[in-house]
Amino acid sequence: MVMVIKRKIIRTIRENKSRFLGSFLLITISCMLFVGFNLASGSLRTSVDSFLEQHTIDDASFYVQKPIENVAALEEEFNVTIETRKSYDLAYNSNSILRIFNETSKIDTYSILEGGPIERLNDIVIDPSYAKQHSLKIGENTTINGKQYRIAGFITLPDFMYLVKEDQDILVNPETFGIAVISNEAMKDFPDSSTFYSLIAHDGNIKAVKNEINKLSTIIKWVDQTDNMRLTHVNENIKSFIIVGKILPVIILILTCALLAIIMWRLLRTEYVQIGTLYALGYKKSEIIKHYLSYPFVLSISGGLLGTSLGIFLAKPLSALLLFKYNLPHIDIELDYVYLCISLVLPLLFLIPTTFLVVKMALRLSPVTLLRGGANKTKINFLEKKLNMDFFSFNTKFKIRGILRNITRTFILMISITFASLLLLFGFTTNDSMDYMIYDNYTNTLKYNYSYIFNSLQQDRPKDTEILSFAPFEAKHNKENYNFILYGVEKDSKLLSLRDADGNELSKDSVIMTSSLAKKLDIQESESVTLINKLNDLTFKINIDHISPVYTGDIIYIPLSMFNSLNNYPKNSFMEVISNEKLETDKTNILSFNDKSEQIEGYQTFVKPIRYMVGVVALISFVIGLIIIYVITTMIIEENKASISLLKILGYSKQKVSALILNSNIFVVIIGYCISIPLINQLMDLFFKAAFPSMAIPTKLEFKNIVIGFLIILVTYEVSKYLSKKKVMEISMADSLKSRVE
Amino acid sequence: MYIQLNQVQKTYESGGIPFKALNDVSLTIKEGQIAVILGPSGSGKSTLLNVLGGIDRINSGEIMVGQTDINKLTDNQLTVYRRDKVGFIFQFYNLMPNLTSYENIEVASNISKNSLNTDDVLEAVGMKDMKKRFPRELSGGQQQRISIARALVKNPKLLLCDEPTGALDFATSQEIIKLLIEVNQKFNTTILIITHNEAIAGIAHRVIRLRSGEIIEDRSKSEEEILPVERIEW
Repeated sequence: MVMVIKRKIIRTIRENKSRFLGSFLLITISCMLFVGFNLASGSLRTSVDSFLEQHTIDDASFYVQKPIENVAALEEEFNVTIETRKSYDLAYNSNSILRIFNETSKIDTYSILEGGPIERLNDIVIDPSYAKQHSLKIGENTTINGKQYRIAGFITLPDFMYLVKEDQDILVNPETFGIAVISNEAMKDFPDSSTFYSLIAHDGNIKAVKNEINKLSTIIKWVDQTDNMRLTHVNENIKSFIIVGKILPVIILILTCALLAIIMWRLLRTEYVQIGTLYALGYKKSEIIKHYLSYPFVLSISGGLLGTSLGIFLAKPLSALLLFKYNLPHIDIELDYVYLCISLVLPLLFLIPTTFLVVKMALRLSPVTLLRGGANKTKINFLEKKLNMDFFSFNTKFKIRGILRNITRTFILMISITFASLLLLFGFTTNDSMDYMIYDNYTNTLKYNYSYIFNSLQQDRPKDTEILSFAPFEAKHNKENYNFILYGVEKDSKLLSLRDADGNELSKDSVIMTSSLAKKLDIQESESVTLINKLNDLTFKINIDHISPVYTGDIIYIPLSMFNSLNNYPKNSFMEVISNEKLETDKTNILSFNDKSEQIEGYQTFVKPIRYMVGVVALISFVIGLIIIYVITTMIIEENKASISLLKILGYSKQKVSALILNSNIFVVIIGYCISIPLINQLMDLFFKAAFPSMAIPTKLEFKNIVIGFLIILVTYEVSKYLSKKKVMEISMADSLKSRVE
Repeated sequence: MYIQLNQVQKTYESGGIPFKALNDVSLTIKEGQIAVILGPSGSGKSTLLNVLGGIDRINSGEIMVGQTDINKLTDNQLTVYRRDKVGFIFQFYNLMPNLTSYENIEVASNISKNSLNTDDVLEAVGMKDMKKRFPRELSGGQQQRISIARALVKNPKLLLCDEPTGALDFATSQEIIKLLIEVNQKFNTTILIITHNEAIAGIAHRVIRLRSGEIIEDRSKSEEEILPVERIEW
């Protein structure tokens, strides 16, 4: 039988719509984010995994000093598949490079996103971002090396989903870099192309074949699938999506719980007499509890349904937000019913127990007390009793009492402000941290304009350059392997600046570890670490002299002479030159070329959507802040109806009354915001480490943005005050004095 | 005897100081009687009503309603007692503000085993035309009629009225008292009315006067002594 008192639920919600609407919106936002993020990340995960499987992602790719002659024999002996690949960095125009690959048949095969495959000798397929930036259309011709190529389609490669030009690059820029694939036959027109190999080990034993390859021809570069930034970056981003999708909605739900607990407490207090009457009529405690649980039930179900539905629509733009910087296959959002069900149940799981506790606490009162409207309506708490406020003005005393009288409500308001501020500062901190990392890297650490990486060890230093060498290494800590790059740098290098925590230049005639790697390996200065060369398994131990907080990645810098001697490379040999001027060198020797200005330009393109994201997050935090402050302010007004009425009768102007009632929370807003600043530093540090373990992102928040953040929160507060002001004005002098409750 | 109180003691604590709300109260009321309990504020009238209605417990003594000692009932049994045996009428009506008149009566009929027809009860209290109205759309007297209907719909043996006319004007109060008398006559309901108003005692079969938690007067009236409602005035 449907209890008739249930009919009062919708009516009560309608009568107190601003309060319940706040909770409803928060539940909606939280379910929307939960479903949106999880459907997007789930679909991305599934699509990427199936793409990698269908297009046979390599286990590793490598460069060798001289070509491997008998690939088939190696394949048979070590149960591996090896595909020889070619790449050529074509200067498509004055400021962009198009990296052209040959068409593969077994490993890392391309996937067509639009158009068709390579059918003719002069067909070319290109990545869509580069094509868009350079106005290249399917079916049109483009001239490459004086020859006409027909653009057959747009594609993506499994080992090149994140289109960074160099392995160590962080950011993509389709204006300056893109990829394309042509037929093996057409590739013969590029005799200067670099040769490399992709490998799949069918029994998972890469080590044996790697050793054999090293014997046949020295490996100069080896990238395991797990080290391929162009792939791992995608995985890391999906992971960060999953983290945000799990944490953010839960935090909003916890806040909603707190808010709903206050709303329900307030509702129960105003309905004490009704509850007492229900008792008198013979209602059981369990029936009354069930009735009040209907409120969170109705809110959770309605908010959950709306939020879940909106989340389904949000998943697509969210996945697009993630996709914009990747060259991924088409993602179809799959409706994962598990997430949809969790989204519907999650608010119930949070809100029903909270409300149950609140109702249970309220129903501890006897029916008689309830019929009298509750006991001790206005409790004077310990703090209020003890605080000597004699020397304060009446206005200040009134405001302080307002805050102290309901510590729980004040606390929840403060937590809510802190949360809204954290959301806001999340955007700012991401932005500032990336800015700092990039500009510190490019202006203070890497002081050169150009770098050239060779495809074999070099001996002749070009004029006006500095030389370096590097190799991929790994080290073990707590049974885990950590990959990093060992750099050999010249002792008197001027183009690379490594500093200690105080900003003092460190001598490059020493062993310097970046702080991000030091943290991972738990290494202090003067301690030693055992390194394993990933190209040839050569193992040695070195002592770390200094730890530098530069953000170049996980790197150990050692003197070049030491690098060559430890790795058994010829004295004075090198693999990279850095310079402030462009070099005129033989292109056939160059494996890759790097222009700093392109990187900075790429960063500008990269951060544009981040800035939009900051805007969107700021808007969400504004809305959440507004909802919570408004709901709490409305309740403060409700509770102070009698006082407001009395103040009006005594001749206080409406403005003065509004100021007395509404302005008290400014202290709470300021404290809540201040708490968020150190907190965001800690949280972002954890977030960056969890979401981007391979990038040592420093946590920075500019003072300017702290001020802007505060102004936004202040505006939120002022807007909610403005909205509440009307309510204060509406309170009639007679009506509230008649009120029996409070 | 339908109601029998033997040496009932009820003590409250207020600021650490014990306060005897009912002090050794003993009384009996026959089934179908209207009893008016008079007394100043703090005399124990409401406490007496509350313990009889099973919404408060006594410290010692015995309260027999029918054959049941309600003080020995568990909380759940007390709820069933309130549900099936007792109807409450309050000074401020205590209606659910966001339920219609009809729904307010349904609140009680919904949980009652032997409830009367809601429409019949509404008609009996003269409120049939107001069934769709919300409490705020009704006058005080009309609200009290709905409150009476809510109590009656459960078809209770005992009707406990806490200052039922306390918030009403004279004419409306007369109508309400008349309604209570009709209920008493029609359903043979035992009615206890607590009030400050001495005039209401005119319509009662029994008049009990309390002061400081003690009975200072307990008087049964003969049929001749009972005044018709039209003759009482204040």
